[in-house]
Amino acid sequence: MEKERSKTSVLIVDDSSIIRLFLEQLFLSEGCDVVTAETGEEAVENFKKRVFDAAFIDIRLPGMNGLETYREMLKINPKTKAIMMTAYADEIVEEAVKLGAACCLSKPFGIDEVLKEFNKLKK
Amino acid sequence: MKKKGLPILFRILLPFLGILLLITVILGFVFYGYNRGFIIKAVNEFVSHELENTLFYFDGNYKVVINTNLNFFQESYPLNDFISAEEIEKPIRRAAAEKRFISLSKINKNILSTRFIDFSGIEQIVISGSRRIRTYQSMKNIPSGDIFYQNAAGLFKRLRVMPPGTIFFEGPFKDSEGRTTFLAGICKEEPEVGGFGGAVIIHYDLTDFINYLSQLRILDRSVAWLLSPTNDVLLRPVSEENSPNPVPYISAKKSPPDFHFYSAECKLGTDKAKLFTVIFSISPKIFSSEMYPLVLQTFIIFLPAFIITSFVAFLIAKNISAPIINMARTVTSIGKGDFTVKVNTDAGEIGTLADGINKMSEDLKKFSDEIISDKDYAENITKSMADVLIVTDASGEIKTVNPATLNLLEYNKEELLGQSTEIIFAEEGELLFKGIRAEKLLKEGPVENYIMTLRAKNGENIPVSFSGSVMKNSAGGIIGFVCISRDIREMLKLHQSEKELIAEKVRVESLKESKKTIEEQNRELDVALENLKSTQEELIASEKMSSLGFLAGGVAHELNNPLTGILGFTQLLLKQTDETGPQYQNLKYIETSVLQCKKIIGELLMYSGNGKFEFGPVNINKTIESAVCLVKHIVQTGKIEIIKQFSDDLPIASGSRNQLELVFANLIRNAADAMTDGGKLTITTKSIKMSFVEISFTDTSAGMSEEDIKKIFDPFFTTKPTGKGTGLGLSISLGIIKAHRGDIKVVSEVNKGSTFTIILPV
Repeated sequence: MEKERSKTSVLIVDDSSIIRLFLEQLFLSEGCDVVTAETGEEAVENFKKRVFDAAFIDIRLPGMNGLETYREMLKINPKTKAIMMTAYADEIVEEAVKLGAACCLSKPFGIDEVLKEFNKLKK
Repeated sequence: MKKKGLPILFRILLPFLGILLLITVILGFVFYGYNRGFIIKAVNEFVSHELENTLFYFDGNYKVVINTNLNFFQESYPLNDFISAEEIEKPIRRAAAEKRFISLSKINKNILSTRFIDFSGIEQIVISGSRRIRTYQSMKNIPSGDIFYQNAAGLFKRLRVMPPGTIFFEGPFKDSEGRTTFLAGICKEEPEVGGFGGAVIIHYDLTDFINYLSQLRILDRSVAWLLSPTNDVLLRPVSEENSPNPVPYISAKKSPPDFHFYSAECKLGTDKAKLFTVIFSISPKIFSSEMYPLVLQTFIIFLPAFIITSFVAFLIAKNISAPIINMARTVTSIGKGDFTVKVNTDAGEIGTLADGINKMSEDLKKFSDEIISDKDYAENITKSMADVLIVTDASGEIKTVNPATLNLLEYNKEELLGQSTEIIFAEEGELLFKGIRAEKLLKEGPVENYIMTLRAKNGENIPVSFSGSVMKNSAGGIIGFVCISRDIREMLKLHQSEKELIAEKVRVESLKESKKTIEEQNRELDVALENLKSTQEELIASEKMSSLGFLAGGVAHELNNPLTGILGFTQLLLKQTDETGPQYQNLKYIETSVLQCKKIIGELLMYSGNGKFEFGPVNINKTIESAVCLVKHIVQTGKIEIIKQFSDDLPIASGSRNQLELVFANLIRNAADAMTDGGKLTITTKSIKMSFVEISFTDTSAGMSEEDIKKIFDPFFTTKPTGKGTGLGLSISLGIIKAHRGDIKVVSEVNKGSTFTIILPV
């Protein structure tokens, strides 16, 4: 349990499998506990089961979108830290930031950008 | 309408008659005066003649006789013998002398008595008729009251101191028997010793003469007066009415005022003493009655003369006035429109006048026909006009309307004529003659195709296209306004949006009437209409851009996920690969390519605006300012000096602020990139006729070759080092500007610099 606690847990929500795979590998290589979800609904189900240190949420998702997903997550755990991801400079990103999201990653992004934001979040 | 005045016949006739009357009266007076004078002269002469006759009668019957008688005694021997006889001889001598005296008395019937008075004043011989009277009455002691002896004594007294032969008279006086008598005496010389020898005195009776006078008739009337030297009336006419009493005038030595008198004095004796005065006193009535036939005669002569000449004058006047009256009748007929009447031409001036009238009549007929046909033609035009025609006078009162007006506004002709245009101009601001519109018409000439509203009788407002102009007479004075309006309801139904615009225009106009002139508003509204049209076009264009942006966005989004995968996994591999290993460099190439893709997609997304194009008012100067801010961190501000030359009165452009900002930022960045060693970038804005905005970006770069200039707008063409530029900036900028219906032009010279000029419609 202690070992598990010491590990940083990350939830990745994206409908793109390649993004999920990339981020999963990246954070696994960083030694994190990674859970992925394809939809917002799935992510919320996962969120109810356990606590995550950080969530990477794509804005555009089939069904519930990223912002709604983040809102649901906040209802379950108000201290949830999230990094939004988008292929656009969407307005709802700003809304998410208002709700408490750390920042927004514009696709395409590289390892450096992800880790930079992630490290900011951990502090 | 006929003016009051005399007909021409009377105008000629009356002066004629006046002159005739005057001449007749003058001639009458001259005739009368001449004849009167002639009559008076004749009367005077007649009366004088009668007077002379009277004196002649006296001379014949008395004067000559008296002298003869007295001289008879002067030379009488028997009397001389008696005077110088001794006392003793006296009775004999007396008898002889008495015979002489008697014989004389018998000859002359006017002798009443004859006597001789001796030097001592005692009657010696007295014969009365044929009787001898021997009373020997003394002159010194006469019986009192005896008028005869008083006169005889007086006469004797006067004679006694006179030389012999002196003849004196005494009287006339009325004797004891009432007869008018007088005495004549002669002074007798003493035949032997000389000296006064006594006096012979004869008593004469004047009755004969008086009878003669009283029977005398002048102008059939008794007018003779006989006056004694002391102005006692010895004889007066039968009636003083016919012969006024002249005595008061004679004693006062005055001329009589209103009657005539003719007088003659009878003088006798050595001292030429006045014995009596004969006067014919004639009353003016007698003269007047004498003149009466003359007056009658004058009338009888001149009245018919006047009547005849008047008639002649009437004929002459009628003859003179006939052609004029004829002409007047003709002119009256012409006035009533009958041009067929002709004046009979004549010689002379009247003939010329008549010709003139005939010519005038023909001309009038010609002109009248022309006018009627012109009027019909003009009426046909107005009737046939589909548009509303309203003609007013200078005060705005309606004078003419055509059937189209009545049809459109549903008024009767009588309801509109004479009315103010107020009743058909719908809005207060539209009043042609109250507001500034009439002034505008006067000052700036005709108004054309002005959109306004007319009000029909039923209250319906009818939008019309209005044209108006001022109607002037030849002198330049305003006589009215001609207004033509076209019903544009049908047109408006076809162009609904235009109708709204026009309604809006009408409304805005009426609100701003007082502030701005109509032209400005018209122009502004026209511009607004144009803008709206262009906005529509812009919207269509922006729709296109939007779709394109949307597509680009979608493509970018779809590409972003795989690119993230490529980049991510490449970097993961790089982390796990030895930098000196053979695969490391290859992986780096992949990473570089992916980053280039990322950049292209980034720009695509940026310029596509994520598919969002919102047109609105854009302040170009402010947009440039924010574009400069946007690229401030990119531009090496230390090296590049940006000079802004902005126009102050730049019109507000319509477009997408974000897109334009990107275009400006792109041009600034390009200029900065072209001036790696620093330089000046001059940004200039100016308005072109308030309908275009020109924005110039002039740099001091090395410039471009003509070949490069041809290609710079091609997509993916870039002069920048590989990896720095995508070649999309200018291409997409041109697309954005074209979407704004503007243009970008480039002027560049090698080693001098380049100028990018953007033209945007307002």
